[in-house]
Amino acid sequence: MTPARPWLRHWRDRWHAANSIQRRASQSAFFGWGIYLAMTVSLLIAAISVNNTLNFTEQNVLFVSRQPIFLPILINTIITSVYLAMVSTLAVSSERDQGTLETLLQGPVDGFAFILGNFMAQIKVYAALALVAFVWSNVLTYLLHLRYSIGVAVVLVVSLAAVSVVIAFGMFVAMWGGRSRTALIYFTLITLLVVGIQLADQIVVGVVISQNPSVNDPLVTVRNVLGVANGIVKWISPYSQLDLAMNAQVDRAYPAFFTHIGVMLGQAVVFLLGSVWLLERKGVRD
Amino acid sequence: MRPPQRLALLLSILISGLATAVVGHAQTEPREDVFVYATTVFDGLAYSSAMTPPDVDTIYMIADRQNIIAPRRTMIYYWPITNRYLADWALLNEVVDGELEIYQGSELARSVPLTDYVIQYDGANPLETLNIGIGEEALRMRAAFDELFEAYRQALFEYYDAEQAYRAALDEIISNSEPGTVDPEDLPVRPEPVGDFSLQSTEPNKAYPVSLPEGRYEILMRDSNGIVVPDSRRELVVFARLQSGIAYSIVPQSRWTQPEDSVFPEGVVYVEPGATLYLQPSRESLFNELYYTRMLDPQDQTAREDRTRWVLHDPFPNTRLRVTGFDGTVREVSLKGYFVQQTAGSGLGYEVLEFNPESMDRSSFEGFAVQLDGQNPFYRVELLDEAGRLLLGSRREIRILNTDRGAQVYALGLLPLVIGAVVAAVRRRQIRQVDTRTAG
Repeated sequence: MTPARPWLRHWRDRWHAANSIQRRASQSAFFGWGIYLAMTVSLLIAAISVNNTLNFTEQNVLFVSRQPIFLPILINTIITSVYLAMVSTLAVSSERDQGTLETLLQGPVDGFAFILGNFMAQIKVYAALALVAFVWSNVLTYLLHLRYSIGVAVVLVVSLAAVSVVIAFGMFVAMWGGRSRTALIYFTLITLLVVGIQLADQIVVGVVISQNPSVNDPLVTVRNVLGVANGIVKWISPYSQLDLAMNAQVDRAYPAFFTHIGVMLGQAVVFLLGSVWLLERKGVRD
Repeated sequence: MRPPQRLALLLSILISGLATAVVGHAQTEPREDVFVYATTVFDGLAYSSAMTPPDVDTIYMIADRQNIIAPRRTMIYYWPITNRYLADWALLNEVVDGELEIYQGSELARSVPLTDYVIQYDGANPLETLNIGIGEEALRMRAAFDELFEAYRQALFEYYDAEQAYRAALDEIISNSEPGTVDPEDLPVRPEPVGDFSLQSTEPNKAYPVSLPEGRYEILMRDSNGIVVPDSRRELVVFARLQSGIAYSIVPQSRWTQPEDSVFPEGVVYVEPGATLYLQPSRESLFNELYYTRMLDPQDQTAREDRTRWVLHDPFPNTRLRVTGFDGTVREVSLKGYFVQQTAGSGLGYEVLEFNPESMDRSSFEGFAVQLDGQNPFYRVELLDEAGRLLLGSRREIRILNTDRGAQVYALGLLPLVIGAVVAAVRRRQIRQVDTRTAG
């Protein structure tokens, strides 16, 4: 038997180390109550949105929609991804806080394996949650007599790409922010800013349309500024990319659909490599 | 102050107040003599007109359609109620003579001279009959229209004369005969009424007709001396429609004044069980929201370039609706008129009746009626043309939504907790087994 080439052995060892970290972290998540509680909360919030649709139809007699289940899925993806990203931010930064990261990196684990292992653990957890969401959406479709669509399954698979961006970003912030508390504050603020711009844009557009504004109306200026900001944010925010991919899927605009998936995967890779780079640059101590 | 003086003072205050009030009523916004572009553009169905004041720097129009640009001098004023600059055409309305130059980048793409144009269409089917004549053709079209209208007028006179003669002959027969003795064969033949004249035409007007492919351009006016007219430079955005299809305005029987539009091809309409819907199909086009809105209203501030807008055009003529139920039943529904009758009593209420021309003035609305019975959980509707062919993009699914299952939706949200409990139980059992093994 010929010995494996050094670079191949190096990557095999790396993969082994990453996989060990992944198993440990994902088991810890599966055996805790956190993910089940987080997903219950997200599905209950999604249920509010579904119930709103039911009440609307009851009062309005009819409801015209292309895919009424996409909004609850988006809500579920946002809540669970933020939860998982926060967990991974804390997990990674607390290893540094407690000094265990230094011990870990003395052994057969390097920065790349550490980041990849933690990332894969959260992706594995989300994949399991997406499976639950798939069951949930199918039961819901049957229960309410919605139109069954393979697009729901496709969108749940695509949501993996969006969630991978959020988790990778959480790890990037953990490496950048240093201590757990600082990293968590950074992550929360940046997430709120990105989501806030999108929400504010939606609200202001609605207000402007309901008025008859003049050129010099300050609300129009605010709307235009938010419009420009949102134009940038929509390419940064994985939630916007997921929403755009959902619409492209319904419209059967496949080039746009794959473009949005590509953007999300590209972002995830950039944040992961950025995390590894920051870890190597900043070291294992605060 | 003595009483007569006080009275005089009061009167003077009253008079001056009244005078101010009168002046206030007569006040008009100040007018300004400016250069504007008046546009007559194809909006997807017919032609619409708009005015682009000097502070609006971009004009929008649909690609590969004949559109009209008319540079004019006019008096404009700001109208605060609608937040718009308006033109007082009656005060000043001068077409600017010269050449309209269209640039793409720095290249002169086209130079358009002042030309006659006429727009004509049949009011019964504007989209398929819309025609615009340019130059000599415009004058020929107008002459042909005048001829047709004259012939129609002549036919109308002849019809009235014939109708008068018919009534006179009828009166004479009735007055000279005993009741019940007139042979129907002896009665005069009633003249056929002349149909409506539905052809519409503008007068020949002078402007600059433009038909351009999709793209961004710059326009300016050069007067007869070759000098650029001040304030005449504008951006010109020529855009195409993004998609076309068939939309349905859906009128629920219980809210007949508030239809909902189903614009997406292959879309789904969810309804309450037992509802009756009236479907009104129409052609539709998808445009960039900003481009389309600003084309019709250059001063609009609400539309955005990153959004799209479905525009509903004319109702689809000569079609039938095929309704297929879940149980396989197929029926074809034809377009009918419906009359909304208020119910008696002090409370609000109405009923929708099929229009009967003999007992009702005119129909309140038209549509294809679809009664959703309890036998079918869903229906498929699609439009058929005169030859019975399916019209692409007209298919919709109508599903009865189980609106009474809200509590079950919440209960379903507890699914992860159930899974968590199962995982925890399995884990506890595994730990117990390990503990037992270790103790053993």
